[in-house]
Amino acid sequence: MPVTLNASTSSGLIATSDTSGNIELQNNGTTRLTVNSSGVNFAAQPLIAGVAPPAFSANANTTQSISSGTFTKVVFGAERFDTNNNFASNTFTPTVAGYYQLNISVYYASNPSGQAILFLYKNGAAYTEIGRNVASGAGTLSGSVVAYANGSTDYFDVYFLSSGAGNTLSNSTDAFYVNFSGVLVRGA
Amino acid sequence: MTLFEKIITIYPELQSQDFLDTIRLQNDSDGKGDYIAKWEHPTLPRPTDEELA
Repeated sequence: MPVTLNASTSSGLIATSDTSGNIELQNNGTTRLTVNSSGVNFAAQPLIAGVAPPAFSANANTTQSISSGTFTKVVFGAERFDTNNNFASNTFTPTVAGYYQLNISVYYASNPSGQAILFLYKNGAAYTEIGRNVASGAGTLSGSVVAYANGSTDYFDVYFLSSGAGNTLSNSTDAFYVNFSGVLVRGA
Repeated sequence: MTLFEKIITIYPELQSQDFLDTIRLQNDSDGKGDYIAKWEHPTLPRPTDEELA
């Protein structure tokens, strides 16, 4: 049993005590918030499901060639951090359900003709377009989106499409140009 | 020759917009190369493996 503080509509404040180290805030006997060794848990519409919000940041560390007219999965060969070990093989698979802000930026070295388009994929299919550029030459596409993940099977990838031939992402020495990061901003 | 180039050779009438709408070529960067993820062109049939070889 935890320590409880119950705001009762009939008796006012009812406090019970024990030595568990845990505490609950109650409304008319119903637990609304618990504090224990895992953190703070909200009983309804949890902000965070008992854990620190997972966050990750990855970047490319090598040049990637893109075939024209082909949706190509962007390779993020290095991680800056991955607090919940949810990022692997260029894919983010959150293990905590909720709403994630995902941030993506890609620098491409050339787009001789046509369009350059950046997509966020969810579960293997295009989820939303992050950005598009119809001008030739080098450029950067970037954007953010908030997307829901069920915390088990949902996963996210980044794909790039170049209508023109000979395009490449990033360059061989600079890790700043191609990035994928995200953080849980609201529980399920 | 890339898969895109092979398809353009077979169907030179295709436009870049076709590869956004009705045809989707994809590469999952898993070492397996480019493949046709979707072919829903209203008039042109999906090329056979022999044609793409």
